[in-house]
Amino acid sequence: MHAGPWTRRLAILLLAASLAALAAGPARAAYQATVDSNTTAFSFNCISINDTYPAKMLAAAIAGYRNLGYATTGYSGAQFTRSHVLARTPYDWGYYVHSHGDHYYNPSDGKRYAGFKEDAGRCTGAATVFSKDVKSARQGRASNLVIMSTCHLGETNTTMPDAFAIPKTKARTGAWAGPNFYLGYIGEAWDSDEFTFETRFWSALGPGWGVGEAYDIAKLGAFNPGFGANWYGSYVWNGRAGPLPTCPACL
Amino acid sequence: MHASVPDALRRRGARLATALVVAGAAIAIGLPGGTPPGDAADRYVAGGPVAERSPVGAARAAAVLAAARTFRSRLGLPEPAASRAERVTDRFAGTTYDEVTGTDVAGRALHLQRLDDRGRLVAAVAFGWQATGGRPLADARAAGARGGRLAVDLGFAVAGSPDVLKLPDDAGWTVAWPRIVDGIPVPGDGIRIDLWADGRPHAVVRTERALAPRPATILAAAAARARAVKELADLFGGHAAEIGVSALALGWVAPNDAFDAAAPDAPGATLRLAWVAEARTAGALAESLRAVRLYLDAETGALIGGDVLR
Repeated sequence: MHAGPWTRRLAILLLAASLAALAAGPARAAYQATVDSNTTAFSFNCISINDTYPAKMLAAAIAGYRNLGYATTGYSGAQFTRSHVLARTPYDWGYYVHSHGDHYYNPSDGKRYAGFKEDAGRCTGAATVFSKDVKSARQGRASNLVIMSTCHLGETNTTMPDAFAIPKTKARTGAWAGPNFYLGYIGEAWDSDEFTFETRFWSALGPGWGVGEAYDIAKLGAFNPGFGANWYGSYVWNGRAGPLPTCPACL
Repeated sequence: MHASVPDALRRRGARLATALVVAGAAIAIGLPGGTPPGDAADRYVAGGPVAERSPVGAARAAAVLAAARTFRSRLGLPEPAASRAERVTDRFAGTTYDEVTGTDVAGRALHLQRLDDRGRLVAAVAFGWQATGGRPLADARAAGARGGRLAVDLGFAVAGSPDVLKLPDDAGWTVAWPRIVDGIPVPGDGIRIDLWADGRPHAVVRTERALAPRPATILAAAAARARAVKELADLFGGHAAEIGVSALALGWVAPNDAFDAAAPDAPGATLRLAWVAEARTAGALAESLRAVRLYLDAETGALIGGDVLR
């Protein structure tokens, strides 16, 4: 017996379904997300060990954004540069970074801005991506889900949400600040705590909780004393890519 | 009749084509990848699912829902229109618990409670960030007192003054009693109660992970420090002069893969007694790395994990 009409018909049906899905896909696939993780500074390239957290958090974030419908690409090492971040950011609806973050002094105007270090494959001397750089590149363009997996950038004086056009307000149940959510950490945040929090955040988002509920669920994990996270945006939003208000049972 | 070679090749080609189309369709449609749910014993893999859920059996569900109702009353959480009980296997933490989700008439989640196998509350959260309410708590002392009363109402054994932290953006307070065993801290374990600014409970977490047997002998602090210095020299090579031990103390820690990619992605479910050496950076190294923690087995001094502060 050879591959008969049934097999061919099934293949044709599946191919048609695949093409239909691809045809329907671009509307979702248009919503780009970038996931950056600084792996070099703490790897065999620079010291004698490979820190495993950046790669794990990169994998978790890529899976998390993809599950929400973003066309997601991850970068690390020499690909994660300041210029690359700024070239992609105008088109990013989602952005995640795991790196060294702080309120850095900007020598060009003498002010401090929220920012993070590029990887660029450099052991030392990595450039800083300032929030003002991001803001200038994006020119007020809206964003969806932005996660700063760094120290300090969830603090109340952070300038990073504004760079992504996310107002520093907490739109709680009954309120709506648009389909956006900004997540960052307070003070010094250890990688193990960020990994635990983000693992639980991504896990909760998948099965249908909103971003705010996922945030609350993530906080139920076990953390080092003093660990703190913070958020801005719309609690009830479901996290899915795109400019439309997408929440199943909000307000 | 035996199939001819060309027939076999055609069949194989058709199967391959079908498989490719199915895989392509799955990718195009966006079916999630990663570790499939199934075997509760599967270890967590970064990017894969954390929780496996299954319905709680009818006989057990009644007891679970009754216990949840009791704790809900003590927490002052609103009565839900419906409650759903699920059995959850948490691959990341290596634990299981019953989870009760309360919803309103529109199906929106109001709150969630987790109960262990003994029916004790291990976590609860009120959703919605409805932070505005009554008169705000006056200060940290008032927040601590409020948290203490709640802890007693919930049946938690707490002693001493809690750590009290004000949350940003007037989001309330965190009141915590870290777990300490025979004078040795268990970082991450203990009781934590998050309060809204007006004192209503937002979240409760009781974490009490299993501890391995305490070693018969424990390295002296000086020996542990010497071991930490040697580990740092080995790990940081040419940068060793830019990092130094700033703190050293015993603690119960979860072994992890921080410096060993071959180890499981999730931290160990059973905590081990270790010397925790914290080392701070300086100079060029501090541009990308603030500190590391080395977990050194309390008895042998072997590196069993650690942490990184970027």
